[in-house]
Amino acid sequence: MAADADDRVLQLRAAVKAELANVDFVLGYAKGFDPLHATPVTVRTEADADRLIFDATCVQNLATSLYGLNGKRIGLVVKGCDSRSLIQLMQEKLLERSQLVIFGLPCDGVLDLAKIRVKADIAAIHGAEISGDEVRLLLPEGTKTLPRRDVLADKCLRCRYPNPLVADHLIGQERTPQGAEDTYADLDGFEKLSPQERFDFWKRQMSRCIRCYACRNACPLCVCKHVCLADSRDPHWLSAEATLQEKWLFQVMHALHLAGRCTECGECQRSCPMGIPILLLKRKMNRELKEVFNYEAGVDPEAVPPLHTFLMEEDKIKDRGQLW
Amino acid sequence: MVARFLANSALADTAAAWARDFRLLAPVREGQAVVYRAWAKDMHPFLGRPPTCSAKEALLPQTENLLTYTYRKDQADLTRTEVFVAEPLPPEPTLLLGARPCDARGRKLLDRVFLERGVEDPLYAAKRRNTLFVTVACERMENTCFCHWTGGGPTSEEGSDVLLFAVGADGGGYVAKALTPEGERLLDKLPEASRAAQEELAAKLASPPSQAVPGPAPDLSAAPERFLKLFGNMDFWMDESARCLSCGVCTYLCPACSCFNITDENSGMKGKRLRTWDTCMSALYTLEGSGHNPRVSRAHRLRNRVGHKFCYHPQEFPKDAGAQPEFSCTGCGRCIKSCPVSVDIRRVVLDLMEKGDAS
Amino acid sequence: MSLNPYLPSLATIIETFDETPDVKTFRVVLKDEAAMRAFRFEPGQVAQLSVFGTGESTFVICSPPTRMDFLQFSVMRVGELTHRLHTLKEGDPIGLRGPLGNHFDYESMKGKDIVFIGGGLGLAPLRTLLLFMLDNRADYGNITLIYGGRTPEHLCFKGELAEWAARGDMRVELTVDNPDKSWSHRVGVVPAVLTDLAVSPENAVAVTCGPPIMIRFTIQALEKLGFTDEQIVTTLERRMKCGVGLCGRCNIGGKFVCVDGPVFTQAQLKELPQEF
Repeated sequence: MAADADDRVLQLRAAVKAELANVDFVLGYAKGFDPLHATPVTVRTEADADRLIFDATCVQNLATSLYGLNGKRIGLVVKGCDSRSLIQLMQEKLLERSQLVIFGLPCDGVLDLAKIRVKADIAAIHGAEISGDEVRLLLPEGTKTLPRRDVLADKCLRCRYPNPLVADHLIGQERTPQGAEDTYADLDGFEKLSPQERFDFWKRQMSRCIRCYACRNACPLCVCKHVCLADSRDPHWLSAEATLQEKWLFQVMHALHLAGRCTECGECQRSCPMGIPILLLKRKMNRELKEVFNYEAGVDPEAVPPLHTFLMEEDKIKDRGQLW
Repeated sequence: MVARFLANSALADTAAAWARDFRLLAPVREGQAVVYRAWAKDMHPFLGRPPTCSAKEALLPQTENLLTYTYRKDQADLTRTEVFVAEPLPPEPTLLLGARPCDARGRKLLDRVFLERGVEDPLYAAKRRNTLFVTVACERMENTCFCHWTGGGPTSEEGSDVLLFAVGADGGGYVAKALTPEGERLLDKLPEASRAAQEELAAKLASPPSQAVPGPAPDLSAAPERFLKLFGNMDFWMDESARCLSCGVCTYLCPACSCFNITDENSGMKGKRLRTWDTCMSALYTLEGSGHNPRVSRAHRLRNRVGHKFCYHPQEFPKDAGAQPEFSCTGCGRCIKSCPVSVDIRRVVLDLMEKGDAS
Repeated sequence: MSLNPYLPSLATIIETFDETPDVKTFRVVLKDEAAMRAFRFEPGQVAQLSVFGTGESTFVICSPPTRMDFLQFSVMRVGELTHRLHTLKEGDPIGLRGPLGNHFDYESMKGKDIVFIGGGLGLAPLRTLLLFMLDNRADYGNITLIYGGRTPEHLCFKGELAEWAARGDMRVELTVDNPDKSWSHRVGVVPAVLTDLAVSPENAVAVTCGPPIMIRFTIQALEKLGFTDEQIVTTLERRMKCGVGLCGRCNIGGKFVCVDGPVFTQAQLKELPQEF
């Protein structure tokens, strides 16, 4: 496993170096400020390429960085889930395939630091060893070993697309998907709560929101960026007041605007500094979309997202034409 | 002053007593976050980790009223309207429990802007005058901490009214040191710290927390000039900002960032003029009505954030020659810790020092 | 009087008229007559106009302190606040905060020849200083105004342009990019007129304001004519909110356009990080 991993990074670096002449730059991952953090890096030179890494700390979805880079030819390192964002962007004609050189890396899942923090105080961690089934944390008070499965992101536990669905360079052995059909068990559990309990839950969660819009800006499909209706003064949808209503309304709008587009990369929730579980709202929308249109976002480049089109008669939507 | 003892077991009752005299903001755990909440019965203050947000909330809230206005129709001539404007009420006396020394130093940096720059900001000044900080000294440096780079330290007293030092003696609690007369009054009901507790504290202070990850403080005295040297080097700023998402995490969590927006929120014939945190990392921050934007790219905006903290601020508030400049940064590391893409301002500053020297 | 710098004085619009299809002029007086009598400002200073419910924006006071019957503002309709402002009429209440910012250093300009170079609504701050100088005419040498716009229709203060040209104690040169049939003045961009006139830098000060592109080429033309950086004065615009140097956004390096500006000499601008 470790040998394959090292080998893969060397292959990745070599592949990136070979393409440098054909692109403006390559976006990949480098080591971040501590052993559990990777950070996106712009690769322009061979020396930059030697900083590239790929492991379970490479959590960010680099498809988000493509915003504002129209007209450039860009190399991009993607995991299986990230590739779904690219497909969705291409479906929406927001991205040209020819603009990209894609370095696809089959993925064994990425770490969820929020899960690790529940089990260990990692604020002063000085080393981490991530193997096939374990994560060893080198902490000031000693070594702590956690089962890898316990600290992988939820999306990885149910992942059916560990292998990039689109790539120019596929680097490393393809992985066997671990996840089965999404049962939305988390959502089922939540929806068993009474409306009042659910309301109280969101009230508490949303009241922490500081309106930094990291959720929006980290979302690869939130493509309006600074012309977002959250910032619009005319029409004036949202007030600047830090009330629950405003905070919540934004999240509802975000979820609705992503219905049938969200690939559940989870960047919105991961980016939230206040730990608000906003992915749940998007999963709710996705389950509805799956039920009504049997559609999954970002899988088939040729597909048309259901809310980008319509049929005169939808199988699962009752025809209410008589009411006119 | 006498060192007092605040036992862990007495923390909630002491906080409740303070809450009778003050609007008490205390940190509580909520999921992954540690957030300041207004005191409520049965609340459990959590002092074990630095709060996720900085303490500036107490002095510069996310939003506050600058004024309210009401339009009234002239009953004699309905085409005419009159407007009436009212100022907000003065703030309540506030006590903020559980800030860290980096947050308390942030007060001084906010004072620079709101009290010392020129025009005194009356809303800030009113809160500043009646807000007390009961701060918790840090027992260790986290990977994102670098307070010692910017003139602070894990036990820095600057800006606090009371500083609490965690000890294990006497069943566990805090040795409380009053740093201001107001702070002393807060502690007057607490018992004197035992000899054992004081000795434990003295021993701890003698061996300060290790600075393993951020490393020893580099000499940043040339940072302002290095910044200006690299100001026009857009490739440098492009590469430093390539990862940035232009969100507001770094600036909103920063104890020293003070920029704000002013907007009117209308509701029928009346409304409010609000002051709200704003972020220089957003394209909207400098976007003009005409569509012109002097800071069009993330590179321009990151340059401004770093420049403000490590060049413009020290130039505006100069220190004596040879002294470490005062930066508009307390080294709390929140901008690093909570950045979704791990932009590390320490790295940017070190790159400045290195490349600004070579260029 | 309140010490709250965010609190506008209440004011009333006493007159409005159109300058161009998208520029409207407002004449405003403070509601409190005593405050209006006590209102003091210097040429070049700005004020924040409030439409309560929409917001505030910064505009130069384009009438001179020598004519205090009202404060005049000329406003181009570009954004949310200016759209709303354009719907207001005589008698409507607004808010006014000011004066804010620095001003033209008219003392040091005494005894010198003054060259005003304006484009479009950029004439507004120049108008304040020009009228102030005309009201103290003996203090200044030759006064020249070079003023241009996209079309004759886009020139502001049209009535006054003719008045100034007829005065005899100043020179007025008008130019447009796209003339119509009735246009009898120059055609071409402002910097070209400046070069064409070969304005002498001898004991002169050039004061310029207009669109950024015009300012850039005007400064180049002035430099070619031999004007030094100290002899070139301009005003800057930035998105502003507080107007008192606190909210942050109008900074250029360590300077704030709202308090250290809007008036800068080219020499001062060269000292700043080049971010404009």
